Amino acid sequence: MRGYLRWAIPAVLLFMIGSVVTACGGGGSGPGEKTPATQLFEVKSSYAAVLAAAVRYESQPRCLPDKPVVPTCSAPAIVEKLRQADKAAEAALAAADAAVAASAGDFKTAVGKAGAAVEAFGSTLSSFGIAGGVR
Amino acid sequence: MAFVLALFELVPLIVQGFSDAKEIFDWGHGVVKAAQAEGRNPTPDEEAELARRIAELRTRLHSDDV
Repeated sequence: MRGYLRWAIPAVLLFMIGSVVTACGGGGSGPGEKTPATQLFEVKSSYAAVLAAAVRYESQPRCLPDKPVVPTCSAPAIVEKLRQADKAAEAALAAADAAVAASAGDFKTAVGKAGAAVEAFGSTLSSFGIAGGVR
Repeated sequence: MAFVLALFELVPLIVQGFSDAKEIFDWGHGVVKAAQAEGRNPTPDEEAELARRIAELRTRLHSDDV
């Protein structure tokens, strides 16, 4: 079960983010349309979910330099890559925030880029096989 | 879109042990659905809550970042 979750959880994260990115491009499908602010909120909440998984990994004790990397420790190099991916996502989200706040005509582009950056962040997690909720 | 809707049904079944991320995702999804149904933006309180959660998580992720 634990082995299954190690790949399933990152995969689900990517599905979650991918569905949000897809939904942003297609507009609303329910009774009402999603406003630009709502679309951005959706991307941000997916970002927060990815962030929670990254934090869960980072909070594990650091792997010792002379010891093998095991699932219960966090490798410094991986933590650094997660931080870089987070900074990129944060910058894209800030740009999207500004576009939505300014009611810019190209807000969808900015929100789409933010979604892509969040997806890249999630892919970074997935590439290292990080299972956020499994100890 | 049906796939997306099915995905939101499937997620709870798969991420049983992924409480942190799932909780945030579910909460955000609920806010989005309500806002969309009512044709409005998320409320200032909802925006502030999400910003607070993100800020806290980012602080923790970059806690010993130089």
